Amino acid sequence: MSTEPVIQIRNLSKVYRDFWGRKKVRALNSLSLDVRRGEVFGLLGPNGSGKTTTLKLLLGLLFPTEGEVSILGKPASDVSKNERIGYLPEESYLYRFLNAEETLDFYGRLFKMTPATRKQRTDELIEMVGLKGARRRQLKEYSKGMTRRIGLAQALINDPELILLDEPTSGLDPLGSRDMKDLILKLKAQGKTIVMCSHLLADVQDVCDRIAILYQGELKVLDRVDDLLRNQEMTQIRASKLPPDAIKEIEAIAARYGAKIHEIGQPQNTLEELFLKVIRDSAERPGQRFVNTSAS
Amino acid sequence: MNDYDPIPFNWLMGFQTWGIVCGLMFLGAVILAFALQVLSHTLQEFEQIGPGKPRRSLFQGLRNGSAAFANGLIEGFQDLFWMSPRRVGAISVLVFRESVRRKTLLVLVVFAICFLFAGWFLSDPNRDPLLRIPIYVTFVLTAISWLILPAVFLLSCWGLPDDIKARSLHTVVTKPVKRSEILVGRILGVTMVGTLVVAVMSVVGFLWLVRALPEVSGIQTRVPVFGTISFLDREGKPAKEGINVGDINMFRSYIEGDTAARAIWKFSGVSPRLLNKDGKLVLESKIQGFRTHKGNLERGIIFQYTFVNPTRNIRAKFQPFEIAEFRDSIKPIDNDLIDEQNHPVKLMTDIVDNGQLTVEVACLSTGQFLGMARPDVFIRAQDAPFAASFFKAVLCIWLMMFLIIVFAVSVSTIVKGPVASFLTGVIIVLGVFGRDFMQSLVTGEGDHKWNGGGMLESAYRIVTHMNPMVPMEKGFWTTVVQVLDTPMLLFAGHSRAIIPDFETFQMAKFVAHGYDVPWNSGLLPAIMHTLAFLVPCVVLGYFCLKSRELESK
Ligand SMILES: Nc1ncnc2c1ncn2[C@@H]1O[C@H](COP(=O)(O)OP(=O)(O)OP(=O)(O)O)[C@@H](O)[C@H]1O
Ligand SMILES: [Mg+2]
Repeated sequence: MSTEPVIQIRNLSKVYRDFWGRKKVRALNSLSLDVRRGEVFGLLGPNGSGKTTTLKLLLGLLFPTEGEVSILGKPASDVSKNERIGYLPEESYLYRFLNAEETLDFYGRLFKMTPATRKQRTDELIEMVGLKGARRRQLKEYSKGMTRRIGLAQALINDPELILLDEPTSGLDPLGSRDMKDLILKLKAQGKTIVMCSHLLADVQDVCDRIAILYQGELKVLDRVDDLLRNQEMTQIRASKLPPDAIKEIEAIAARYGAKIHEIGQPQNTLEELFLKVIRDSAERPGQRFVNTSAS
Repeated sequence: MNDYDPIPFNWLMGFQTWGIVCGLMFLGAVILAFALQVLSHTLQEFEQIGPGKPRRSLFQGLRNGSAAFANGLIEGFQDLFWMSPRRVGAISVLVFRESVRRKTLLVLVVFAICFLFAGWFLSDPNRDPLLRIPIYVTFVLTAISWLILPAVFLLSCWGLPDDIKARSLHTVVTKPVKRSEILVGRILGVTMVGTLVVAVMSVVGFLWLVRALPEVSGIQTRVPVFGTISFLDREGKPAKEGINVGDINMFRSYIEGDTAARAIWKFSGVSPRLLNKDGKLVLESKIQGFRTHKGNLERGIIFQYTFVNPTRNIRAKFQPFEIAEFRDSIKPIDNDLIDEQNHPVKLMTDIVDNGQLTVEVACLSTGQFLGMARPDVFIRAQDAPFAASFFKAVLCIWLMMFLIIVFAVSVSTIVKGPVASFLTGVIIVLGVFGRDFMQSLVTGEGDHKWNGGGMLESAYRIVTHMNPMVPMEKGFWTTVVQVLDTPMLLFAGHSRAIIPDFETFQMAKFVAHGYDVPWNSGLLPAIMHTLAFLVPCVVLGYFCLKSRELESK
């Protein structure tokens, strides 16, 4: 994994205004972060914390109130950057009168792609997302999970190097979400960069390298998942086939240093605990926020 | 075709009006966009810097705003000039599919039903077939217009707003698609549907015509070549027009019989191409008599053509003949004529001068009058098949449809479906009924005479209770006000041109009366009319779409 940034966000703010320009919500407040090439980046946060807003700003769907975004070395307003980006929206906003094949063919035509490649990728993706049986049915007949799957397929039609997924596992059955996570890891293995939002913490923990936690439009935490979840109070010793004598000796050594061994095993910390702690802390101390030192 | 003067398209005037109106509109749009950019940036700076330093906020806002404005403009023109045919094509096919799956093609069923029942109302086998043709032809062409226009109207007013509302456009704009491609793709998509429907309807309509009136298939349409007209009064001096015999609408001007009064037609572009199969030039006339006394009722009024070559001073008289009132009289002219000195002259070489043919018309019956208007005498070129004329008229309906699509889709980039429908509806109603009213309003003819200067001057007059007839006193401020008013007055003077003239596209008047749809005064103005609206609509529509976040709210 290189450290070259694929996405650079600097002081990004977004205020939603109504028709008359009156302020409605400040959805995002001075967000700065980088996403590096080849990593899986997770954006976490409770409902309405500005995750979707961030993704839309990255894509140029919304115009920032303040701040700048550079994505694949181009400004967000430059549509040519989309040539190398795939985006799975929060809900699949697709043309309901098209069937799966026509959908993928249509989006494929928007990219520089030969007809043969387009056909081939359409078949591959339909196969991959498990819609082979429904490829000729109009999307308006699809169930939520099926729509989600075709949405994912359209995001990957151009074989993008940067993939933005807005709640990729929502609406999917356990099997589907397992597949989705496997797919994300597979894409990562191919060297793609992935940014995803999710509330499903287990999913994030499984696949993300780094995460950012947003709360009310502000960045609260930004770090590697491993580091964040490392319990500083504890020391974990992992050894293979430690004989009982050795354990006794280690306990003795620990006792000599005044430490007590709670248990021999893995620490029981999960991302869920961290997430809840951050949100509670933030609610108690509204002013405090995470300041990103690596960025800017 | 009675009392209708097909005026040839005037390139110079067309472009001039177009240039002025578009120029002023763009100028207005540019100023507005610039002001909005600067305003929004200033407000932003104000929020950031704080209310303490208004000057600095203003300065920053001005700088950033101008930069953003310039960027937007440059980017915009790049987007408009470099569009990918592949993506435009993909979007138009999508729109086509959408329309078809929304059951737009049902209008064809309605069309079919129209024709199933039309027979009951139209067919009157006892009528003279020659009188039935105009009714049937007009019916078919009107049916096509009235069915296709509402269909494309709805498709183009609601398509884009619905796409934004359903957020399906969201996913599209995350692909490398320019906003210009979305706009143009949508216009083309609706046009494709419309074209399909018009094509089917016109072919079916034509076949129906041929079945209902078998004589139609044999009909030829006249291809008239019109000239210009001028007059000589009874003393033989040039006059602006002839005599008015008491018509309210003076379409025809009258010349008195047995005097030096003449009507003079000049035709240009006369070449052997216009000759008929026997090598003769055919002159057709539709001259009306006005009798001051009974005269010889058995015989009509006599009139005479004289062919003139003014440069070589050759005059050749054609033998006089009676006018056939209320019918057209067709005279093939031999190439061999005798001039006034009894020398043989050739029409096409001696009389026609540089492609220009001058024909003088005289009335020979004493005390009777002959009425003529420009289109009353014309050279009849080789006839064209009826089908050609019919399909040219259909093409004009298509052009009108295209114009409405372009307008409606462009409007729908910035407003929602109901508002877009309303605006387009207003434009259509004004275009059909209101142009003359606007014309009289802005040119100050007739009842709506316009006094008191432009907007600023009038405002000044209102504030100071000054009578609009009183001239402004001279001075610096008066000049300033009047200079500022000039572009507005100029715009107002041409504002009629913002509204498309739907009369331009009505070709039934030619086809129904057995005329070919002319190029110069029929097709060409229709094409230019459409193009004139295409460019500004697409440009403004594009910038509106580009400035939107496409978040449905
Ligand atoms: N189009 C809009 N107009 C006005 N306010 C909006 C709009 N879209 C989002 N917001 C507001 O912006 C804030 C952030 O919304 P956003 O959709 O980014 O949240 P999110 O983190 O994606 O939430 P969720 O987990 O529910 O998807 C919310 O307060 C929301 O109400
Ligand atoms: Mg969201």
